[in-house]
Amino acid sequence: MIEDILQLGLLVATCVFTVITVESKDLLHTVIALAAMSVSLGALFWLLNAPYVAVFQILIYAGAVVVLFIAAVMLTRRK
Amino acid sequence: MHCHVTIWKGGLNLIPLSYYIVTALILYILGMYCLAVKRNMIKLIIGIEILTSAANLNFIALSAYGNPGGVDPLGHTFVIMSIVVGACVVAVALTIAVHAYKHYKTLDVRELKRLRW
Repeated sequence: MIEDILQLGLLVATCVFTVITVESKDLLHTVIALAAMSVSLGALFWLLNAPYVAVFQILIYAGAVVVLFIAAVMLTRRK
Repeated sequence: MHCHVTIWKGGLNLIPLSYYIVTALILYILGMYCLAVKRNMIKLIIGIEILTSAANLNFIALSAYGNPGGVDPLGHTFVIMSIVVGACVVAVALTIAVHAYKHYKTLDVRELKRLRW
């Protein structure tokens, strides 16, 4: 019962964070929502009996790719 | 057909497979919408990211449900390769975006009308 709620909750959270990513006006909010989406996707991979893939996802997507995006946003700021 | 199965002890009870497929479909549609409609260069690159994440979720869900009581590790292999290649694609794309910003002084793709500097 609690496992079902956990899986469904993570699926809904992924969709909600993706909608925030696509529709946000501020670029920093977009990148933070992308990080949250990657983390919830990594948790879903863990629950689906794929721990290695979950570790790779959180390490690379929520780690390196998000930092790259933040660097690009900082370099292309209109000041 | 007997695929190569890893027997997984202690997995949880999973919800029906169609929920994962529907979520991957929603992520696909959101990624394509972002890629087609948005004007900011960085938003386009994020759209590519969302598309590859949807495909990865599809792979992992189908390799967990294909055999009862086990996982198919072939799907996991493809997803690890896809994650790594996706990160490299994002790195190169962000380099192009920052370089284009330095020249055109804007992140709007509709301003990139001329093909020569």
